[in-house]
Amino acid sequence: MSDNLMEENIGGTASEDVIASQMSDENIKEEEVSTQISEPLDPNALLEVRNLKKYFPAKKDFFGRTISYLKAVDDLSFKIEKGTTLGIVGESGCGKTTLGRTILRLQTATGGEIYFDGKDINKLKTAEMNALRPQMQIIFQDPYSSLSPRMPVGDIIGEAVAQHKLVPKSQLKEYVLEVMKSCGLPYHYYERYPHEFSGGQRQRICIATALALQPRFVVCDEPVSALDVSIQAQIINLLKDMQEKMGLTYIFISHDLSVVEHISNKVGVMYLGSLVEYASTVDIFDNPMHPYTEALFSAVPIPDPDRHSNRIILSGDIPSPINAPKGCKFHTRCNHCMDICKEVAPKFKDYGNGHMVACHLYPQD
Amino acid sequence: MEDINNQSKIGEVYQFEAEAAEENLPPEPSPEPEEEMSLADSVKTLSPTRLVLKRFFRSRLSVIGLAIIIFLFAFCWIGPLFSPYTESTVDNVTDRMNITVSEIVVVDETTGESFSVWKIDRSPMGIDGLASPSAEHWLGTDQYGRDVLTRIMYGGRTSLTLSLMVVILETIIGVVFGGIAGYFGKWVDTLIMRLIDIFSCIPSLPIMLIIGSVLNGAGVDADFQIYFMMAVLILLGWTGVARIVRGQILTLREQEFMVSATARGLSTPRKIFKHLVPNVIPQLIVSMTLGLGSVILTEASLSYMGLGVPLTSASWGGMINDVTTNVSNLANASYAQIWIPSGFCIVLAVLGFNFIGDGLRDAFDPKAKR
Amino acid sequence: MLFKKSNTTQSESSDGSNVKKPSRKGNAHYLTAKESREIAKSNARAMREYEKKKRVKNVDESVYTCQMQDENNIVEFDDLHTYFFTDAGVSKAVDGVTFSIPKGATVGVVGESGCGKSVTSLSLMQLVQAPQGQIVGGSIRFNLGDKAYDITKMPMSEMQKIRGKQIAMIFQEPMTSLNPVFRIGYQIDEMILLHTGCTKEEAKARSIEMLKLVGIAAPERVYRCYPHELSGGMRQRVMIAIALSCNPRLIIADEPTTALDVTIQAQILDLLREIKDKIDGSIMLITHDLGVIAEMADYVVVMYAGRVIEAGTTEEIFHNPLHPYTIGLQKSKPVVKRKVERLYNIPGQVPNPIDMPDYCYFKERCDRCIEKCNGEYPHFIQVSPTHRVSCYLYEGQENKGGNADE
Repeated sequence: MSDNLMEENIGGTASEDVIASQMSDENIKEEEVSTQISEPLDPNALLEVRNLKKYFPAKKDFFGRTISYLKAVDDLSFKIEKGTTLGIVGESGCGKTTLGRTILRLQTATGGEIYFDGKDINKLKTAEMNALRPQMQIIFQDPYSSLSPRMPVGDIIGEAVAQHKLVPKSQLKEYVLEVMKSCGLPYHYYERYPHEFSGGQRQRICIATALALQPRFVVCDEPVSALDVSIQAQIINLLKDMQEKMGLTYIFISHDLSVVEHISNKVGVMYLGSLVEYASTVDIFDNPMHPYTEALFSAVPIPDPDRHSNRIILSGDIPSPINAPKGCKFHTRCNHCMDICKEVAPKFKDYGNGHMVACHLYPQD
Repeated sequence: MEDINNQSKIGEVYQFEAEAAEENLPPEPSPEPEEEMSLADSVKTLSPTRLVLKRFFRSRLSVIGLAIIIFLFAFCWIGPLFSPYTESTVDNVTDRMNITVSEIVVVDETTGESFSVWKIDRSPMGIDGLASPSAEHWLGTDQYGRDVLTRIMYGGRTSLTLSLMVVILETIIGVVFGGIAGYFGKWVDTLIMRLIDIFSCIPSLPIMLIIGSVLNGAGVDADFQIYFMMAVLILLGWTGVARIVRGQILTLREQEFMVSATARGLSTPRKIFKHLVPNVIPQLIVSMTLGLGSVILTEASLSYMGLGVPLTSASWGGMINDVTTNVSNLANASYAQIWIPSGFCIVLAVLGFNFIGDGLRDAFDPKAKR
Repeated sequence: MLFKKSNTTQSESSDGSNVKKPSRKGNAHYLTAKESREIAKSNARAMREYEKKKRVKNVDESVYTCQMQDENNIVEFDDLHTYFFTDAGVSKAVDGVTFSIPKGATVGVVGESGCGKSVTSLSLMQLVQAPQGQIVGGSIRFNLGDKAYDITKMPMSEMQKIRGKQIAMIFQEPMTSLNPVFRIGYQIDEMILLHTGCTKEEAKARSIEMLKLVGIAAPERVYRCYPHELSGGMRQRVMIAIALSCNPRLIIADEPTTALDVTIQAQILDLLREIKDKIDGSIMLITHDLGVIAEMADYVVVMYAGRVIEAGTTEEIFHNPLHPYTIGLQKSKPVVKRKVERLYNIPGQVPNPIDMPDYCYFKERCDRCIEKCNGEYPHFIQVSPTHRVSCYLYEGQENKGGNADE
């Protein structure tokens, strides 16, 4: 009971969530006709997300009824195979962080299904979900706020291990030290406090904390954005090593395209809560199909004074997700905007080889 | 590099345990670090406790506050040991015989001694009342012939103990309610917050006056009245603490380490007591120290109105009250020796606690710069 | 158990051979009360001394007038030392920094957090947080055209005339660097009125002109807006407009695009480049992003732990990086469409510049150490007239034509 309350409450005030969940019921009913005759789950996929929605109430009238919603995640579907990495790229406010947290049920989804290992985690009871939690972990962007400030490092890493009884109590300390070692943390850090460390070391502690639970799936929410360049490389290498060693599956959320390209097998590009393009890393970087992807890729500064890219500069700012534009959400900034874009939202379609795009530049049927 | 396969795993465990046992031995004499510490590690920093202490002692005011409070506590608890008088010893003028005195033996609960309370005829001739400061009575005596200095010491005991108890109890209640409201949110939060709103609407002074006269009317023993007053103080005072705790927990709850705790499936009690509460403690200590000052003031004003501490035992507020039974007494210079020192003690105590509270607030807040 | 089977990987930062216990040595990490007291005492003494020097009134102009080494430079940092007197000891945030910014050029200062790049720019503005932070040595010569001032010796009152007018600054956080209670127009006008003494109408006209210059489509509307009504990119444009409003000779851009999205960053970089051509000023661009530097800068200064370790033109630094740190930095950043199996990483951490030893600060992280590296901190080696590096590997490769004035 108590856990349930807390869980649903992260990220929204009390009443908002109640309304959001009521709203989700309506939505599911609506959706039922179209998607409930669902295809069977892909046996290779560790995680499969179908029509995931997360709306936050944005405006309310005097009686507390919600007038408009902030559609942070709007009808997303994708799947991740075991042992691979899906990169999610997008600018701030595109809903990538919300996506990561909704997948782990740190925020309740407004609609849609999340299948982890064949189970729809939205339908799990709190106790069942808690038992599943060690298998799904998250690493945050800010290593300064993601460690409990008044606990020594050893306790932080060990507490959840002890709670889930992953190792016998007598071996706990030894186990924690082993985890610390594999994450490149010297033994004498065991009794120190997080505030004594630099960003890179803290991020290692965060990784050790998550990996100590022996997860199968980790959401990396901008894990290197707050770090220095030389430390970024260390952390990326550490994440890659651990993936190999433990057979981890990652969702790697970042705004840094070069990092995503380096670590991911598949890449999804998000814009205002929706995926606009989804393909294997090689495909998407060699042949970006969506105009937004193209512009995003060309905007990355290249550390080579001779290679000045012919940059596509997007005009204007990202529209607010509260009043997302009608039709294709990108049409306000698109250089190839047509009349139809302003009216009809394009379908998210496979154009061969699993390269999915939502754009009217390509045939819609 | 060691390449440990499954067989040698057990061996390693033992090896480790052996080392763990070694760890309990006193530290080896070699202070030299064995491996070369990296440059980033070689810089020594301050330990968390020392950091707080250092910031605290950097401010002169907080040191003064601490000194005042230590002095007051020593004065009130150690002082009476050196005093020849007790709280209610009446100093007699021995050469005048025309007074009638009836003795009542009272057993002091705290010390277990029996001592006498003198019921005295209101003849000013009989006792050494309102004596000027002298070698026997450093601050003179009050109108009943009791030593003022000793009474101030005993009064301090009462005032300080009472306010400590009030503050501690109200903090406990505040933490529980504030914590529940902040952590669970939703209707629980709404309910508790409205409760707090209601409690903070109640004007404390009139309520106390009413309760005081009701108690008097019901013939409740004067010694017990003070407990009722304390209960009322606590009942009306916990709301402030609860608000602080709730606000703090609301911000902490959104922090990533709490999200991370949820993601790791930690149990609710663990999340509350290991992750949230330790982070609220600094604010609590600050609010408690600042609260102490204000409770002392409230106690003083209650006693001043004759609602607080029973007349036989001393309290700072009560001593001022004794003087002002007749307002013109205040203007009378011979009463000044009674109410000025006790008033001064109240000011000192409140100032001291406030200085310490401010100092602690700055010390706990890492962002505070001066 | 997963973590027990594989002890062979991850050897870079922890040496597997000495399985050490989390011993009491952890406590050696903390300062003792005595050490702490000593530090506090010596800090207080030093801070008092420097503050006293600052308080001297009516400084004669001749005291801080100086001669530029090269008249074509707008700023010359000469052996600048800026220290912070912290509780843990004296942090040498800037420890002997020497470089210059030529007229009309963009100089990029690169380095990781804590390398002193921001403190260098704050020293130039005399904005180092006192009393903990003090410029303790060296000089900063600033060229005013007809004369030159040494900023380290200038009194506060004179400095105020230079700040904003001659040197303007653009900060990293466009969200917090505008005052939320004033309209945009007021904030630009304020700056112009303060430094030029024109009328309000002229100031407004100039403000709107500036907003137009930074590519704001509806300058009159934005002029009346409050900061919260604008997006991050727009605010950064406004910040640039404020910086440009008094025709400064030098713009310090401290991580101007770090807080912005990639597409917005592209817009702002484009704008900065355009504007530099228009206003004929110099830009000191501070960033950790090598990509931004490569696109923007003419000269690059690489800093590490409070010192310049390599400096040269952008071509030299990117095509012929010499210092192992510069090389490592470039290799450790993944580049789009340049696939590598495993990123190169510089082991270890960025050091905290307290109690630094007298050998190359990069030694412990360097994979190309030689015998000499244990010796004193390496001096600069001038490998070309514009390119210098502070590393023993290049000893004997001095460019004979270059003036080795180090």
